[in-house]
Amino acid sequence: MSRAFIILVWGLLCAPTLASAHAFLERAHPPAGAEIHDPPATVSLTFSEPVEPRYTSIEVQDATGKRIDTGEKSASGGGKTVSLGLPRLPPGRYRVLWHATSVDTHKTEGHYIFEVLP
Amino acid sequence: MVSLDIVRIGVRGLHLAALLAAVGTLGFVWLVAPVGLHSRLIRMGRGFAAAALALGGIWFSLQAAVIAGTADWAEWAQALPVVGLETRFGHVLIARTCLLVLVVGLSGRTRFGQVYAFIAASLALASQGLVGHAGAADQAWGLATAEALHLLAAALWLGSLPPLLLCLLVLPAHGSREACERFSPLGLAAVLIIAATALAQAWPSIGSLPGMLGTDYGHVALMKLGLFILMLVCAAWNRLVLTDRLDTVGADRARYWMTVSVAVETGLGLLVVLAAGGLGSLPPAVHSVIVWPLHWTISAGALEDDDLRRVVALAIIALGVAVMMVACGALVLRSRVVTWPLALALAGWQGPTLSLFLVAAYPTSFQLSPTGFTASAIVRGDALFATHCTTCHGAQGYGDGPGAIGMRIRPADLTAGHLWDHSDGELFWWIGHGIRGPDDSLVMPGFEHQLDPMARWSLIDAIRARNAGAAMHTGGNWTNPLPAPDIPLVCRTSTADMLSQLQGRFVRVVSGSDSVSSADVVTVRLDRATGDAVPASGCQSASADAWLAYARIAGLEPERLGGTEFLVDDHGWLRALRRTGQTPDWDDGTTLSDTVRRLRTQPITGSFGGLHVHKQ
Ligand code: HEC
Repeated sequence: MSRAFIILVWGLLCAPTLASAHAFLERAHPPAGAEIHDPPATVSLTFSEPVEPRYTSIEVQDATGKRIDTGEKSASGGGKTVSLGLPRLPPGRYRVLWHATSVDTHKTEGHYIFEVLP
Repeated sequence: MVSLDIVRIGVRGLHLAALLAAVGTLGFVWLVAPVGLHSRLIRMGRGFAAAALALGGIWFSLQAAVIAGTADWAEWAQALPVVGLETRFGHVLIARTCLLVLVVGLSGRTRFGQVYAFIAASLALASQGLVGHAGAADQAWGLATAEALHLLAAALWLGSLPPLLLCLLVLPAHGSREACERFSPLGLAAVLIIAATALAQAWPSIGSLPGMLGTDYGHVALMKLGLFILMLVCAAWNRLVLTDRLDTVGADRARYWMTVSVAVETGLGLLVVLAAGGLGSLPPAVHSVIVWPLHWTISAGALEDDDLRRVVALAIIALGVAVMMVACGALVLRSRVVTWPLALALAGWQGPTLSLFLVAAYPTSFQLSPTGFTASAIVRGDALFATHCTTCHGAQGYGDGPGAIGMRIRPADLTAGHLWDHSDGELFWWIGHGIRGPDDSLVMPGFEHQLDPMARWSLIDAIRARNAGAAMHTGGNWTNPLPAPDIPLVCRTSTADMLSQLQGRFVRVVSGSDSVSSADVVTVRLDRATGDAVPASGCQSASADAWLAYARIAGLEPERLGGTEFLVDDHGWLRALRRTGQTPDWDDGTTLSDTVRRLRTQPITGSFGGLHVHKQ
């Protein structure tokens, strides 16, 4: 057995593959950690797999923890993307909290922050 | 809630078992067709279908409570129709209920009705793939089909065991032998399909050996595999030994043992199905945190050393011979006197050599960093490094902090190439739990109680970025594969929100200078956008951390970064750095295209932060 082969086999056995199966946040708009000038009109989250829009929630809070989104939720992208309407955001830090239920009924959640600059 | 979870998982498993038995029994009537049992078997299949119907209803209600996230009766009652009508899970279970009602209704009637009942039951079973992990995955159709095949094959084998048992209990000697013989090619085909489809499904969910040994999902999968092998042992005994004896002399004994064996096999089958129900309810290993259960792991480094490999190969051969000798002694009993002591001696001689092959491992060794190597993680880690680590490791990480004076074991030089021999998971363990010296005392303290996990992962990004920057500063290149630190972007012409979303294209990351845009690459400016300043083509950083992190990996102070440029390849690896005024000038279109073309033909093979795989 050549050395390359042994290393390849061991590498394959130990290398973590990243297949999908739970709804993880794959993309976010605005993105996590962004500091932007133009306030976004919506928050839009794309998951690694289709989610149940009925049981997937997003909430946007301002720096004081008050919920400020409009609550208008819509799904697109074959059930992978869920968007939430926002009012015109004044400068400040905002926290996005999400809870997703994927079509295989498993639940995931997370949160991140973005900032609107003056 | 834990106990209710177990009830739900159990009910899911039992529902599946009843469904398998219904399909198996109805198929048995048709495919094995034992004489004289027709109506009893039909009644049996119908009974299983009715049980599946009832258990499916309970599973649905319990799962609906989980989906709606409620533990309150009133909310739960309200959620039932919503889950039924508005989720994939609800749709599948309603369709399944209709099919099962058909099965119960049709199977009593004509022969035609029985075939339809079998088909309806099979469809109800096959839909399971749509509500499990497979249905949600990226290659959903492939995996759901594999799961449907897996379940149908399982129905033909496991589901046929109850009717087979009935045959053995009530048919005369000749009839039961005939039933067993007709069943066996069916069983064999089913076993082969089960094994193949299991492999196709298991690997994407388990992903790696650590995933198998270090997660609940992997453990249940191993348990299922073990039970499956025990079932095979029963089946082989039935087929190879007992079946032939069923209508010869001593038939009564053979039939007794066969009945026992098929009953045991049925029991094992039920456990397999319950384990399958457990797998469907657990997060797959690839999405679980791996807790490595052993104190060591096989060293990829040792595999690379020629001399060491020879030594280890000798040990493996010697131990192989020892195992063969033990087997030989077991088969030819008289030879035991010689072979077993010899085997012991061989094992004693070469066994310890195997330890050369092993390196220390920790529970977190195979965990992956959740930070995504972002610029913000690097900047956050850098700040923590300054407050927690510099006393020993020094402001630059050389291991020369004021606290290092007089220490018996010197703090490691974190800018040395040695850092890359360790995975993120190993470093994570050390930063959390400290490092022990030869006398088992802590030479470096652990920070588990002062820094939360995310802070510790960020520190690792910061150390790696600092190390890469030092290599660039002193040697003029990065010595290890390095991903471009990820940054949030504002783009005019692309939908990307992060640098990593530009993958598939080469990216030229520029700091400050105005560069000529080019068709081969996307240009990203590191200085944070101010109002309308976002370039008309390309993107601009939307975070002040970007500049600091890229200065770090360039090995420069932030105020000296201006004018430096980076080239990121289509897989997100950093490939080249160009300082101000250095030739060749990337603004010269052809130079940049040439570089991009050259780099495309030399993709990076290696890894970053995960398990250490050496470059060829
Ligand atoms: C009390 C002094 C001390 C402090 C504080 C300290 N370390 Fe260490 N560190 C050491 C010593 C000593 C070693 C070498 C241990 C050995 O060689 O066995 C070491 C080794 C390491 C290593 C292993 C490097 C390698 O390549 O083997 C890492 C990583 C590390 N330290 C990170 C950190 C981080 C991150 C911090 C701050 C959170 C930190 N250390 C704080 C003393 C310290």
